[in-house]
Amino acid sequence: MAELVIRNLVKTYGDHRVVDTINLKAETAELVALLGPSGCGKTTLLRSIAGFVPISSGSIEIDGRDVSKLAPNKRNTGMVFQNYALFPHMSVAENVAFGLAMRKVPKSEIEKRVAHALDLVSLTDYAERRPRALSGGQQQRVAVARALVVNPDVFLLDEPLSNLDAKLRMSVGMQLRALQQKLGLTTVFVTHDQKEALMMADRLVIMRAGRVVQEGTAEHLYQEPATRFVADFLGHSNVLTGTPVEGGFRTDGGIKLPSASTDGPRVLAVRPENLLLGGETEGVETVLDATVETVTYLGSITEASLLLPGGERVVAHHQNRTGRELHLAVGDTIRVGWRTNATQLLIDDMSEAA
Amino acid sequence: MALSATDLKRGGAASALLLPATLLVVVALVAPMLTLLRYSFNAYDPIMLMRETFTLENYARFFAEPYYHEVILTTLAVAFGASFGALLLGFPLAYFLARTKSRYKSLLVVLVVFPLLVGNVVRAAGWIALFGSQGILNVTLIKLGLIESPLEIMYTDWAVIIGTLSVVMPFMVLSLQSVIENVDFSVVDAALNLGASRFQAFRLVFLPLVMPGVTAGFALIFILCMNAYATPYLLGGPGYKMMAPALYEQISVISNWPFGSALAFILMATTVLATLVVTRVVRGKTV
Ligand SMILES: Nc1ncnc2c1ncn2[C@@H]1O[C@H](COP(=O)(O)OP(=O)(O)OP(=O)(O)O)[C@@H](O)[C@H]1O
Ligand SMILES: [Mg+2]
Repeated sequence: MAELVIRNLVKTYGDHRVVDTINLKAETAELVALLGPSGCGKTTLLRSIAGFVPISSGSIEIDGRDVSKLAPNKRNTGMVFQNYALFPHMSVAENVAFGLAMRKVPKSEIEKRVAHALDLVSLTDYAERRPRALSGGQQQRVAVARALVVNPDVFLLDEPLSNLDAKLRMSVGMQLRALQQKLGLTTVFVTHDQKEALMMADRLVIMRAGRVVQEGTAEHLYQEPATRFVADFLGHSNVLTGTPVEGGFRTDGGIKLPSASTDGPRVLAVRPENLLLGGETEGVETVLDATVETVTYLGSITEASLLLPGGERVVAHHQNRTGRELHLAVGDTIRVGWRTNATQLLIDDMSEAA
Repeated sequence: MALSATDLKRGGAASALLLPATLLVVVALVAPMLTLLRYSFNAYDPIMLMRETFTLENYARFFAEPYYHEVILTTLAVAFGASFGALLLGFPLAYFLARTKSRYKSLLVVLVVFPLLVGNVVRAAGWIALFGSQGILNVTLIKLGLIESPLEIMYTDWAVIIGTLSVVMPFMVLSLQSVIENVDFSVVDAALNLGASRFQAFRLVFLPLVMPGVTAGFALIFILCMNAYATPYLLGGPGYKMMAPALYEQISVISNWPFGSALAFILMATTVLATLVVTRVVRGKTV
């Protein structure tokens, strides 16, 4: 196992900087999730670590050794491809044995290690089958076993759960995480599904247009997003556009709100669960009269979309504890409020791009 | 599996759709073949041309006359030579065409197919003009004093092999290209990722995946070569010993339909047999 360090990595296709000056570190046994919208360069970054994409500049170090000029077969990474890329003309056991055979491991040891790897992913009974005769989940496990059996320094996964149905995704993801922790694998995991990332990763790296926008633990990113993009990408956030003014923030709709002061273009963000309704607004800094536009009862929470006096729309989540149920009807006027410390003034990195 | 009523109905509709093609095959292929097969057991008569009988004489003649042994061996050698040559030369080109992301790809494909637009008679005539003993090349070389007598390029085995090869090349490239395009190259990446060298990835993963398609393409081209007529005739000269010209000569020059028919069936049987052997050998190697 080893540490992965990426410095100032750039990959350009023509004039297009698909990966733009990325710095990234994965500690030994750490699982880092690369998260970002489609086309932001996640796969390109992962494939450049594996050596399939020749990089334009920067360096990739595995265990202190610069591998960025090495051919893919000299890097000792273990990759699980999005479509699994199993060898269709070989049995499951032959697939798993392939990497060991390439490393000239003696036959008897290959047998032992293949058996062990298949056991790890509970596929012992399927050793002689062809990949085609396996379910999607089983194929995924073969791909995992095949990548792991060679003891890779870095384990690379490109959306390994995206070809599984929603029900399976959760349990396979948990198993994968358990395996990664058990074996202490340094892992980079690509996904555009935030649930997957939250469920599996030690650390999340949010990417956008080839750059890292922010990185940190799931909690850190959720509670202290650096920009509007991050707040919006991880969970939902109510965003009020406007300008910072003396002692607060004036929304474009003309409501003045108290908030920490900053300058420069900002938006005010409040998470739906931090919007307080009705009696809960007692004693909070901001209280407004809003009109209820839609109400959706979701069991543990009720989701309401509200129209603020300034014309903005926000979404509130009310926790339905016994005795605190909320009875809302469309068209009602209700007090909505929030604490200043539950709001964030975020850099607006969405309007310029749009 | 039990067939339900709807299956049967659908089966009926499907058969109806197959009918025109089936009719065409029967009228254009099966009926003429059966006729020829029957002819091949008839006897040749210098006056009546053909006499109804049932004899194996025509087949016996083929096996008895060394001339025809040479004809069939030349046919096999030319067909193998041209198909293997087309495979070796066509594979890299097909690979490039299948893998390129260039926006000129369709233009390149058109260029590959372009020779098909020039019929092989026209092309062969061009070659004679260029490479014949009175052709541009020889005349120029003699004038330059580089050679004294014209080079024998035309009317040799090599002229026929290279000519046939160039005729079948577009078919070879197109069939290989479609085979290669169907390969999911992430498996090659997976092999490299697992420590295989480029050569190992090619031999252990890529080749086994394309081999069935390559074999099918090769067989198709081999069959075309076995039956080549115009190219051997024009580039090998009128006396060139290959099966298709020989049997054409029997039928339309000498009007010996029985022997010509027998030659046709021997050519067909040899082609089928050789194709089977080649595909067997290749399969045995990869599986
Ligand atoms: N070989 C290539 N040539 C040119 N552009 C490319 C090439 N490969 C990728 N790109 C471009 O690079 C960008 C990033 O692609 P990449 O596959 O890394 O995105 P991604 O983040 O993995 O997206 P997704 O979530 O959809 O898989 C895209 O705009 C893509 O069009
Ligand atoms: Mg991707």
